Order: sequence, then C-alpha cells, then structure tokens
Amino acid sequence: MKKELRLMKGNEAVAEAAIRSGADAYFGYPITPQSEVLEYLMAEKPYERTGMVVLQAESEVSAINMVYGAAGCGRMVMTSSSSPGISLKQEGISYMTGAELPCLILNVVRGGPGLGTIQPSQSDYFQATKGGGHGDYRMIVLAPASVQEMYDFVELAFDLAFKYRTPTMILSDGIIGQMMEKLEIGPQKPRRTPEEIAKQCPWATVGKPKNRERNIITSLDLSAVRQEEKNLKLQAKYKEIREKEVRYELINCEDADYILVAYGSSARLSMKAMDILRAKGVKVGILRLITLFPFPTKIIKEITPKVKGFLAVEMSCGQMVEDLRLAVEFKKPVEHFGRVGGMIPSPEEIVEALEQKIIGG
Amino acid sequence: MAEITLKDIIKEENLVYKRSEIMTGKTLSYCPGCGHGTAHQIIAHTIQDMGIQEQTIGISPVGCSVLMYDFLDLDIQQAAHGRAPALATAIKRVMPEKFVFTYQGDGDLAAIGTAETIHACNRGENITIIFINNGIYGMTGGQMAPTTLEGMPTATCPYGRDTSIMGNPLKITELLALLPGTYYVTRQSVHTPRAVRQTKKSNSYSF
Repeated sequence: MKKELRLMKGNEAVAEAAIRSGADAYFGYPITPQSEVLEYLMAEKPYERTGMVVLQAESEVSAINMVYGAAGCGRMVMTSSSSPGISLKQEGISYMTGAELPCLILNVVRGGPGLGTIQPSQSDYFQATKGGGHGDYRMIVLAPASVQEMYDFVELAFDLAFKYRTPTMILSDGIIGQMMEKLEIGPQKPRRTPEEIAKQCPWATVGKPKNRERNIITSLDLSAVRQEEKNLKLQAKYKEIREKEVRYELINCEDADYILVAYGSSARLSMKAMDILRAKGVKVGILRLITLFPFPTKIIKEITPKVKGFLAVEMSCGQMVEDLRLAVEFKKPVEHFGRVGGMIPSPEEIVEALEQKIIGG
Repeated sequence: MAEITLKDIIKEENLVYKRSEIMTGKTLSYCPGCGHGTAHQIIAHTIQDMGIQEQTIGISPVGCSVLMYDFLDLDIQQAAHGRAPALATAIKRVMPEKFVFTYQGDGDLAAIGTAETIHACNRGENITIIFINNGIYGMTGGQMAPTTLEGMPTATCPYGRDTSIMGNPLKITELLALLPGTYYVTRQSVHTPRAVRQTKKSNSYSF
C-alpha cells in the first residue's frame, strides 16, 4: 500500500492520529502551546468523519472529568493540555486511576512553575512519572521525540491504557508540539461498535440489562481492608507494567565510553551533541527513553559496568536524573545538564557539559 | 358480617405503594428523617414506570449520596466533588440514546461544581440534574453551604449566617432557569406525601 505522507505540527499529528485510531471522544480546553489539537479537531469535524465526539469544555478540570465519564462507558477518549492545565487535571487523573479507567492525556510541556512561560520545557517529569495527584498511583508515560512519534504513540497509548485499564500520558514538550515534520500516517481504523465495546469492557456503564449485575465506576471504598486490597491490586498492575512495557532506544552505545540519557526534544539535541563529540574522537552514545514510567532501569544496570559515566540531558533543573542515579547505584558518575524556564540548550552546551562534568570531572 | 383479616386487606387491588424494583433492597445509610431515601425511591419509580433501566446511567456525587450506587440497581458512575455534570455531558454525548442523570447536593452543585453546573445547563446538555438541597454540607457534619439561609446556624456559622461576612445564599435554581440552554427547572419538596407525589410527577417530565 502506498504510504500516506503529510507535513504536520506535532499537535496536529496527535489530533489526526486520534481520529484515525478510532477514538470515540476528545475533550479539551485551550492553552498554549497545545491549542492546535482542539483547533485541528474542530476544523476536521471528526463527528462527520467517524462519529468521534469533540467538545471544548469550560475548564481543564471539566475536560478531564468529561474524559472520566466517557471512559467509564468504555470509550476511547482523550484530552490534551499544557503544564498549568495538566496540574488542574490531577484530581481527575487520580480518580481515573482509582476507578481503573483507560484514557490518553497529552501534556505539551511549557516552563513553570506557576503560569511560567509558553516556551518549551521538560519540567513536568516528576508530576508525570511519580503520580501527580493524590494517592499511590502511577501512569504509563510515553515520551515522543518526533512528530512521527506524536502520531504513532496515540494508538500505542490507547492500547496500553485499555490493556492495563489505566490513564496513559504522552509527555511531549513545546518543541515537539509546535514543530513541523514529515510523517507517515496510517489508515483510518473503524471505531468500535457498542457490541465490541461491551465485549472489550464488560465493566462499562452503558445501561444495566436485566441479566447482569449493575456496573459501578468508583474510586471509593470506605472499608480500609478493601481499599488496601485495591491499592495492592494497583501496585501489582504497575509491577507488571514495569516488567513488560519498558521502551527505549540505544544509539551508538556498543562502543560508548559516555552515555547521554535523554528523552523528547533533549534526545534530538543530544543527537547533534553526539555527532560533535564523535567527530572529536569521544565515544558517546545515547540512551533515549521512550517510556518514562516504566523507567528502563534494567538496561541502565547492564550498561553501567561498560561505561565511564552518564550525563542526563533534560530541560529541567534535574528530575529524570534522580531515576538515573537510582539505576546506576553510584557505581559510575552521573551528572545533569539542563536549561530551564523555556530556554533550549544548544548541542555545543551539551558537549561542554559532558566534557566538564563527566570527562574532565 | 365476616371479620376482615389482614389477608383481606393485602391484595393487589388495594396496593397503593410498594418498593421499586430499581431499589436494590440494601439498607439505606442515611439518617432518620433524611429525604435522600424518598428521593431515591422517586427516581427508582420513575425509571421503573418508564421502563428505562437498561437505558439509564446515573452519576453519584460526593456527599452522603455518594453511595447511591449501593441503593439503585442501575449502572452508576461516581464523580469527583462537583464534577457530575461534566461526566454526564460526556456520557450523553457518546451515547445520545441513553438517559443520563446526576444526583447532587447543594455544596456539590452550587459551590465546588458551580462552573460545571452552569456550563452543562448553558450548553443545553440533554441530561437530568437532580439537585438535593438541604442548606448544609451533610456528610461532613453540617457546615455552611452556598444555600444556607440568612441567619441559619451551622457548624461553620454557629451564630447564624451573617451575610455581611459570609455573603448571601446562592439562588442557583433561579440562576439556572435564566440560561437559554436550560429546558426545564422545577423546585419540589419531599416533606409530605402530597409533595412526594408532586415531585414524582415533575421528575417524570425531566426524564
């Protein structure tokens, strides 16, 4: 079959991917730098193309709770926002995790804290990977590094969300969301029929027939005994996710003395830094994280004895580097380099950081 | 003339009231004198009379009636505090053929969920909102609600609601009735059998 190629913004790629993967609904609220998702959907009229519902909510809080409602009916549903809006959604995400509802949340990260800036950042790593809202929970977090991955990860995120009945996040940033790249898009998948939804999601609240027990979607259980069991069940789920769903990419790591560990835009910038360093004769490889939760601890443990040190490159003051240090267990030097507040590091700065903090350190 | 026994009285033609089949039969967790049980029965009878159990999705709030799903034999989602109209909006939009109702208290609907309530009504969402107004936060122990009347004492205004300090009761029902997307608003009570019958009648309209 002939490949269908497009030139799109990352945010638009997510929107088109949602339609083509057969999503049932999108609920969102405008915020820079991700408003193109809702704009694209409204312009495309997916309610005419596939019957997909699109609605601009009155707030991010309302949007995530609309997602809860549709997800409770077994629907493939998503929302998107950027950092301050994602903070507002945390209550809803916590409830959805407790109620074991699948959904996709896109965070096109901008600089914080507070209203911060509209420029790109990666400062929401902690919020995305450590829970974010109240209670003991995790989300599967995917980090795209290209417009193509913005597209591809939508269907992957929905698959994972339904497989584990848990909210799944695509953690992007203002660079990936806003930049245009060539990408290949897939064929239109049909939306599931109500019968298929009922079969796939026997727990869904779609109206109680006489011949089955009522379905209840709730995160509440006032019995501490049962609530503890519920928590342990969630933890068992996260253990399985840690075992089965780790994704990463190793670039030039076979002979590498030094490893740049990065995800998203920082991984793209690190590619250029690696080229500069390799040209100088420094053997540098990249571990590009694709899943941030689960974190690829196992591969880091395997690499650690073979290398001289790691540099975590991230547009934050040092968040992902904490997980890296835990994985390396202080057996080799681990340092962090990042620009923050919407500033984007140059490849030359990454080169300098590696030379000063690790090679010369 | 033969003596009339209990057997003569308990007959189908003499039946004026019985528990709805939509009620699960589980003992209600509400306090004596509380109207929630009556309100649940009204909803249950309405759904039973209309034969729409299989087409109905309910949304329970945060508050005493969070456990509504224990008492009504329906598919029910439990919402975060105040967010029930957002859930209802989405459920109705992905399944337009279903009946969707929310059941919310005054703190839930008229304080923390004011935005969701107003915007769901203003968009003209084809849902039913059942608003249970007792003028206080019940489950947390009787604190001041947006609907607490002027002068009325509560746990957080023990000397009565002083409007110069605490502001005025919110006339949410009147406010919602002004919105172009709101189709039908009625205020009813369940404090007498007559009021209960009237409420049931009005509830049937809203479904």
